[in-house]
Amino acid sequence: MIEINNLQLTFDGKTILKDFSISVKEYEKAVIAGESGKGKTSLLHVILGFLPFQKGTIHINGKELNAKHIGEIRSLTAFVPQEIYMPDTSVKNMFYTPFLFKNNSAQKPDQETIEKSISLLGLESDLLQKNTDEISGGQKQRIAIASALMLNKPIVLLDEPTSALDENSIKKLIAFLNNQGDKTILATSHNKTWIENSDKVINLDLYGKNA
Amino acid sequence: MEKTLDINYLNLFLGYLLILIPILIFYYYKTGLVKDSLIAVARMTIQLFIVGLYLELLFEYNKAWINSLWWIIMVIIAAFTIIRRAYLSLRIFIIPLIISLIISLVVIDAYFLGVIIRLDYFFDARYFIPISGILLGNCLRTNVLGLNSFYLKLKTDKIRYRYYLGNGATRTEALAPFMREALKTSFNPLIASITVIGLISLPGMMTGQILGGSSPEVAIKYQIMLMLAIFASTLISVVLTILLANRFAFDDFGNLKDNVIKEKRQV
Repeated sequence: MIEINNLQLTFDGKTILKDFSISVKEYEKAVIAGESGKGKTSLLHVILGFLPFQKGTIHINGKELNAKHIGEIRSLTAFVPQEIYMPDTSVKNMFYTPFLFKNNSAQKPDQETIEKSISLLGLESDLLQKNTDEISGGQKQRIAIASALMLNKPIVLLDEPTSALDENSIKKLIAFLNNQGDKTILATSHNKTWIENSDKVINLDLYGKNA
Repeated sequence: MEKTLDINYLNLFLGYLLILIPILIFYYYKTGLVKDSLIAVARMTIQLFIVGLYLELLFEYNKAWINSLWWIIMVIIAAFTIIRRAYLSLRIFIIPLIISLIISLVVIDAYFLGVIIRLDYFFDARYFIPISGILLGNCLRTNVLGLNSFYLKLKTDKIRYRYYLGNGATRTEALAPFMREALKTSFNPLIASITVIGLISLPGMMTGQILGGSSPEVAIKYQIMLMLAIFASTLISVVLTILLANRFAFDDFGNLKDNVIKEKRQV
């Protein structure tokens, strides 16, 4: 599903990854772990074509990551960054934003499904009526995760989804994500509980090489 | 038509004494604006005298090619000024800006001068030069605000742009919210000024026409047409510049190139 071979990633003059190869199989729940600055977020960004890499190849669902296939690859992904800034809008609008794109409009869920989904993540349904400025970063991120999963994309990429959560919320999130049998999930995280509960751990401390 | 009273040079010199008021206040509050103010007034004087001389020539000859040449020079100067003031890349924006300014001015000039005023001689300097100049001045201001807002937001808020792309948005879909915000930023001041026009200030062209001997009724009609023309031409130029420049401002993966805008200062 995600195949990375001999990747070299240099960023701001610093080699973050060298001869880096991994494979994440279909439906696997994988965690990218490692200390800060080891390139966890950069790796997700490379997979999504946001950052250029210098050497190696990346294949997503058999398609090589290049300018020709990038649109097709992004149509297969759902992505939640660590921090989401959506000014001047309601949480409900924020939830529905990805469903406004032509690619996703057929997946638009009804209110009941949304409420059910966010309650599994430990969120109250009245949160949807609030403004995005009124909720915490962790709540915003869980709303974005629920939204991303309802897009029904085969690949879900999550950047530090546990960073703003307490241990109880983390457990709920892990249970929720592990229940997504038909999706391949690749997430960055420092969290021990998640690392222990994932199918695969990609530890960048073992790969990373400073130039 | 009654001719406007001339200001003799001695009286013009007396007029310059007005600058003493801001200079003394700036000096008293140690604003550091004294030198800038004096330079600005000196530049204004020199520029306007040079333009005055040139306009005398334009009005005397009133030839289509000379007037068009002046028009093109104004467009090029405006394009360079927009790029400098919006902190944009000259290489990426100069051609899109010149093209979009030309298109917006040609369309609106043609409609204003050809369809509304129905000039017998389209390139008549008396109409062609000042109306194009006012349109261009407004395009300049609005483009600086709009382009700066669009590209600076994309650069500083790239997480949001990436969030859209990473969830299957096309580049056009991912850029749409940024276009919306840029249009709001750049057109709010213009809409506000249209809303209060005549109530808190008499617009420049209308004042000029009344001083020049036109009746207030004629001046009002011109002013209304001018505001509508400004609205349309500025909108065409901002949207067109962004659409054209976007062909060069992004890499093959839809990422904004690093050199598109200098982040150092905001407008």
